[in-house]
Amino acid sequence: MDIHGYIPPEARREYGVPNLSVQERVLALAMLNGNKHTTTSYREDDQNQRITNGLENQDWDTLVKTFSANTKDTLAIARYNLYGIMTDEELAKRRSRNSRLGRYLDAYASLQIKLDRSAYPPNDKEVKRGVPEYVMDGLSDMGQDEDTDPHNRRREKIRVNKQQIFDLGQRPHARNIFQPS
Amino acid sequence: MREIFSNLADNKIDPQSDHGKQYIVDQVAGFVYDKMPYDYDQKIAYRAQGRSMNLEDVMKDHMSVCRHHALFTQVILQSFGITSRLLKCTMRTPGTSDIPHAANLVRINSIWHLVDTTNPDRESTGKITPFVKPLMEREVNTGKNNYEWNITAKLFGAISPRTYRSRDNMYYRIMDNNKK
Repeated sequence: MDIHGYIPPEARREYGVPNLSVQERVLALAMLNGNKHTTTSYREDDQNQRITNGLENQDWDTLVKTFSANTKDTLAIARYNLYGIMTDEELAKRRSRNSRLGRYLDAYASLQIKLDRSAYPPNDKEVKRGVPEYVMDGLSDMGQDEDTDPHNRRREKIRVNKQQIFDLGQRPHARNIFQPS
Repeated sequence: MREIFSNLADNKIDPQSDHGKQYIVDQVAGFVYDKMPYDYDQKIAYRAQGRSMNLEDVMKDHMSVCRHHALFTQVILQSFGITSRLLKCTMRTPGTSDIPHAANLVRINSIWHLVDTTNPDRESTGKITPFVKPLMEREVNTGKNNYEWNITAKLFGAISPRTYRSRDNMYYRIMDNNKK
């Protein structure tokens, strides 16, 4: 499927697939195929617009299964694609590297959240014991207290909201106190 | 996250390299220390009353505790592909008893490290450096095994031993962030 501009909402909602941006679809296809170079394998149309392949809606469930079975390696493929943009000399020459990297970084963050929600669906009835290897969006750290009733709890719960966490990085950055002097 | 990626690109640092991983861990530790000061007054316990509070409010009113620090660190490090685990533990320093604590276990250069973003080293000059200490174990599984680590920290330049003991009595569930 060529990704070239606008995708109508009705097409995005097929098969229960969440709304995906152009950049999310490109990263998703890379993750599905294990391709480290999808973001930099673009071609150009006659108006010099870059065209990149992206995930088809019907492949979303397969990607979710892949992500669920091997979250770390699937995310790694997306990061290789980000690194490909960082080191793409052609993009650097055109001075479009940073803007492109920014768009794909946003897509990497939002796609991760969408995959988390599909692969690790919410279930407020099931309390688990132990330390999870992967912290997914929506995880509620209940500490040492398994009681879900706030009135009976000794300490607060902490809900992981990845969008909030990722958004923190977009603000004026913290004073870099650990920078080598 | 964008800032760290941009810095990596500008400095031509491969984020998958050990140098890149160390850089990312230091940046995240710096962010946590600078922007998420510890809530020594335990304001959050009174405000939250056993419920969850959203991160915006926690940060705005300086109500972070070690559990926030460890979760934030874990989410960012795993997003960068760094092998990292939450560490639920107790911590003891000279003259104190074991207190519940949370930190992270991070694998850099094939060696597990204990990363405590809540309690960095402090030099005699007041300079703060990240607490990233190598461990002897080649594999760490806090779900199966109990660990005790005696680690030397720096407190205003003086040697200050700490004892971390792992525990697995964490409870969690998965909630829907689309529901307010």
